[in-house]
Amino acid sequence: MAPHNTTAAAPTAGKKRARSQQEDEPDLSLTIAKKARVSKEIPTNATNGTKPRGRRVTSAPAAKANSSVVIPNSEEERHPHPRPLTAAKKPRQPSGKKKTNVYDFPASDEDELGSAEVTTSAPATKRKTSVKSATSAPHSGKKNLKEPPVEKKRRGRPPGKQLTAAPVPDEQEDDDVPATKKCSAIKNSKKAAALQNGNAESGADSDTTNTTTTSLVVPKTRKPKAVTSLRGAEVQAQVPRGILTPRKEKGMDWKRGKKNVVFAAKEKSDSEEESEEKRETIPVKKTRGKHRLGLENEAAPEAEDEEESEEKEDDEVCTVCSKPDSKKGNQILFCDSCDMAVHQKCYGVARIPRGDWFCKDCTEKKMAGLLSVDETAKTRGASFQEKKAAVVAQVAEELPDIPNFEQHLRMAQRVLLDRCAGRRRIKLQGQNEAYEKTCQLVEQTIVAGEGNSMLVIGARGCGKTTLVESVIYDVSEQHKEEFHVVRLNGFIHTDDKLALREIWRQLGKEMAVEDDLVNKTSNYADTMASLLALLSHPSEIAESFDGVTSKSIVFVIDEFDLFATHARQTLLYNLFDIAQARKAPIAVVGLTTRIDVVESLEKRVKSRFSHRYVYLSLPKSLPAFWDVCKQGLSVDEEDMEAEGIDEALEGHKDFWKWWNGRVEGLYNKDQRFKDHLESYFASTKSVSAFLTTCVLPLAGLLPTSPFLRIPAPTTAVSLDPPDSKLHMLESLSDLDLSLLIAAARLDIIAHTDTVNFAMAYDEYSSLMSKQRIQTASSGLLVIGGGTRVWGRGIAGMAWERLVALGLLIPAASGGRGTAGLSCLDSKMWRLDVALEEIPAAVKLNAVLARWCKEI
Amino acid sequence: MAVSIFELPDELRLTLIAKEFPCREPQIRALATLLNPSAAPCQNLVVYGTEATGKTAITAALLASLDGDLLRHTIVNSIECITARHLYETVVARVAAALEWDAVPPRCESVSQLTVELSKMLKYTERPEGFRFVLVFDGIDHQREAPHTLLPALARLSEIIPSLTTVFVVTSPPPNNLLTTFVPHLHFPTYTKPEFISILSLSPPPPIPNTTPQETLDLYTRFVAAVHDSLSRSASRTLPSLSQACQTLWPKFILPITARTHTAKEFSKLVVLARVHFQDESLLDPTLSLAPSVTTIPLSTKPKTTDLATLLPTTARFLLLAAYLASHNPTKTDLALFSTFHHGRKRRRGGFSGITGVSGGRGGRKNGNQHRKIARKLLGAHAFVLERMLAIFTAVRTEWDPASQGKIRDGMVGGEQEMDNDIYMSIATLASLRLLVKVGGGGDVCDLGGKWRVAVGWEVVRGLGRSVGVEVEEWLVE
Repeated sequence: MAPHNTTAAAPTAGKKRARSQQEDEPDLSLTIAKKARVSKEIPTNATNGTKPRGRRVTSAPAAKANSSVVIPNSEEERHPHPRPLTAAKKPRQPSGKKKTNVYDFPASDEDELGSAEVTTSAPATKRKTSVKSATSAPHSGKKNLKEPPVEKKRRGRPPGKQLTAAPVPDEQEDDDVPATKKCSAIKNSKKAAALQNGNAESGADSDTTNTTTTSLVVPKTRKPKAVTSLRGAEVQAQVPRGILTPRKEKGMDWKRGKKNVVFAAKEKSDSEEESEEKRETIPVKKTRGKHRLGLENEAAPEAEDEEESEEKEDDEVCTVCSKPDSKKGNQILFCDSCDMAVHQKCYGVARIPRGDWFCKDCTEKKMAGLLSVDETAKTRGASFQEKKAAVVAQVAEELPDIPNFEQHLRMAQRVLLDRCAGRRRIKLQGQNEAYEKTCQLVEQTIVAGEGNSMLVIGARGCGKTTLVESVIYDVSEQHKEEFHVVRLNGFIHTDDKLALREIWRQLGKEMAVEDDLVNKTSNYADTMASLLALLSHPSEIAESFDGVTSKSIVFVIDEFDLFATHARQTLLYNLFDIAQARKAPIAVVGLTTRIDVVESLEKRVKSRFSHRYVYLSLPKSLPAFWDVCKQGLSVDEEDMEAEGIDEALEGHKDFWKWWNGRVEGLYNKDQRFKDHLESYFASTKSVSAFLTTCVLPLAGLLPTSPFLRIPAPTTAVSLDPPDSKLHMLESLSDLDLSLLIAAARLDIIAHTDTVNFAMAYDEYSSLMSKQRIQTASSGLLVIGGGTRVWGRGIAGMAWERLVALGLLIPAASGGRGTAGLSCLDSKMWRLDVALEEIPAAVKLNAVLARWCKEI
Repeated sequence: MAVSIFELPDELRLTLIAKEFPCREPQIRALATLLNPSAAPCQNLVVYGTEATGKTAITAALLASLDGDLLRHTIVNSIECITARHLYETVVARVAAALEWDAVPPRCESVSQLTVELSKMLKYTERPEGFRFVLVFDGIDHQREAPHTLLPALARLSEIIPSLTTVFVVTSPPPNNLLTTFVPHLHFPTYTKPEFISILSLSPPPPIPNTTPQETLDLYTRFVAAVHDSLSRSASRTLPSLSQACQTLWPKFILPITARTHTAKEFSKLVVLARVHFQDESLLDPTLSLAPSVTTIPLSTKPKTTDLATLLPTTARFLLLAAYLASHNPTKTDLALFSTFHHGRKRRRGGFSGITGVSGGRGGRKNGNQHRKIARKLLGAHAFVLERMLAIFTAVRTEWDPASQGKIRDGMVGGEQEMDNDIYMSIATLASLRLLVKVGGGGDVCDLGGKWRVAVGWEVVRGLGRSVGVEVEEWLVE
């Protein structure tokens, strides 16, 4: 069943379940409730009407109803563990509602698809979902534990399968189980959670079970008002709004919150309908009988009291005062980021804002860019400390129940961050042919003593260095002592002499040639001679070091094309000559980005080159690109040991299963992530660029919120390089901009591509005087700096600032003799921005904007 | 391989630094993550932003607080290094100092050698696990005499030495200037107005007598906002200039309060009273306003008009004017302008466009619908032959200086006459003052064939001309 569920479950259902699970683990956030809920709460029934999003439309309603009914049982069973905390804290009404919702959710999605009935009916969808999760939990707990990630997958998918299962309770439970894996995991983790939270502990279990049972009852009893009241009581008992709240979503997306609300509405209606039908059909007693927990009694009395509140769909409880009531003027607000619910008065929100409302935590987080609960906790005022602690605790409970979770996470972060920051090699993907070829060549040199030369050609970032280094690494595993590696870089060794010395040094170091030998070869010719001696077979030069040349040498020449620019290409000539003439077993591997590099070789050099090439290409398709990028986000099974991850640590498999599931989920389900990936694929295909964007999100993960979110929210700091110089325009003052525009205008007006300060200032002041005349004639008194004409001195400073920022580039002939002297006025400059670029890059005031437009 | 565990940098330190540098918390956090050895240290990092945005200060403060067994750092300021070689040697010396390394090599001539030296200190020496060295190149984009491979080469250092992190602090990085795959770039944007205000109000001035500190702070906040709008946003948008302007203006601004004519609450009235000061340009131009000491000898190339006019002797003034005319008039018009064959002076076709009235006749005129022609004087000075300048001088001096007329009629421009005795002396003086510049070195000052160029601007010359009663405009061919 589990697989079915995962695939089939409607996205909404998946989400809700996830939420419910999360809620079960007492989350601080109190779950979903967002604005939408607030609105809902006021008119209780109205919500049904609001549901809208097309889900109701389709498929089999009956099945849904059935399924919903069945589900509760299973969920109830499952949930008991997580709930205890919430139940103890909060009134039962909300919980009961939630439970009903929980049931409905999986069902509701299906319902929506299948039947109109579903759409119309009851409000308390959230509760339903919670119920489901609760019910399902006990039965399926074991299963759930196994597969935490499945839920995520579900989210994205179309609803429907769960409902069909409905008639058979057990089956449904199974189905739910995979979906609710988290819940189950939570159950398992209960103990751990209990340890963490002093609250949870012993009493919790019993409470939770009770609450679950009550929830089961509720759906059946719904039609009669008394029943409903019972429901309400139950809800309260269960407390945690959390059922509905999408814990995971919090971590993953800002946006989903709204959707949840919508879904909730629909679901509610669905659930109501279902509950009506089903509950009629199914006697309350049955359910009660099944779940014999003692709490039922308690629920009933409470329910009466709460009848009024029942109508309100939301079971959310204020985080501060733990009361669920939401009245006009003191409504419950839900944070649009973390779903924390608070009363207006409790949280000090005078007016309900129009747009999104974020709790203080989330606001801070947004500001800080990095999500770290700890920081916020520190900075926060004492009044909210409790809340936070509670929140943290809830979050922790939502986490997958994996032993040593924090340790696993930290280790994973270490490895992944090292990879993303480029300090650990990532494996080559899809370059097998190139790898084989290179490997073969190097091995031939080492094993058979051949001289070889080869060029590795490919764009930047396609893995040339990675290729060569991994070849060398692999080869060295077999032939450790049999070869030396000399690495040269065209940027660093800028002429042959330096390169030779470097070769000599590296070889001397590796071969342990005496220092005085290295030191005494002070001039180029000597160095060359000794090097040749060193490299040549002993038979050719008798006096040189015997035995030394029996080792082969691999020359790795980075930026090979730059070596071709050295005078007479002496070094290349000699290296290739040695390789070709088999004087010594050396392999010359050149790395370059230039495909025409051979053309730049001299004839004599070219003729000694073996003309072996390896071409590397950037990933050709998005999946291929993702294959490479994925290594920055997850670690393959076989690499664990190599990366130094302790596989023996308890929970290792669970953790990586969970983690890889999440990463896959990002790629498969998260549209934002996919867009992000695609944008890099489309623009640069640069793996390292993409991985760099992952650094900060990865570094921001905490054991309490280990949910990767890429790309980071827009408020966070970006590590992308600037597109152009235009980003600097924002930091310019009005005068700077005026001069820049004046100069840019001259480009067009006077048809000159160079300007000096005198010209620009002249244009500026004439524009200004025109502007003044206009404003004067139109009778407008211009206030402030708008038409203020700045003097030549200040303008000169502004001009110099433009120069310093590189927006003005000295035109070729500044006149050397006069360079430092005169002349700010007459020195000619070229403008690095065009007139039409300016308004696009920065927000101009009206006057400046007109100058850009009217020529 | 021992597994090091990921850790975020210490919260307390970050908070301290964030307090020290307000409004920069995201950058500080990102920087801390990217530099801390136990977080996510990167190989290369580019920190960029315009001036006075806290790039260097924050980087330095953060590194100083992270410094310890696992992290050492040094900052090399390119502006202090005259040549690339100087830079290399500074780097080696600083790194050695930071690592308490004894054997500092005497020379370091190339990147190659730099690499070797750094490798010795960082790569071949045993360091604790997870050790990182952060090498900060401050203002590397302004390095003088830098070979074009300097930046890519420095970016390769961290490839060769795994435990090295290089940070480049630059103003505006050209795309892919490191020629490497990808480097994280951290942007320090300019402060916005609210940020300016909040930063400056962190250090309010001492309370005004007879007001409460709170009132003073409120007033100061609004005052800063007003200064920002009137001066900073419109002309000089940097934190130092704003804070300097505020410091200068504040005493003047609160004058009415100390005089008890107004209270601290009447902000708008105070602004009206201080409006004159708000419009004072000299606030932003410290060289002119804050150091008003009169220089006896104008050393700068652009001395104030009044200075030149009063300081130069008359002959030198005339010579300078003649030089200006020689620089700005085409040679072919000389005959028409300066010929004295026909009695009196020929009417010069003073080529001023229709808008002569506007501040000295600047502003181009339009040639039909075509591109506007740029006033010649705006294009700067052209070189002239010394002989021509002397000819012009001789031609116009009778007109400019009637007093000399008689003497000239007597004979050549000669030694003993008061105005003539020192022509070459004046030229030499002007040259030493850099008001006249010899083009293309070599040659004697007296070489009549030598080429010169005038190094003073139009404004100066106009003032100078007026000081001797000459309207230079009349002598210019436009």
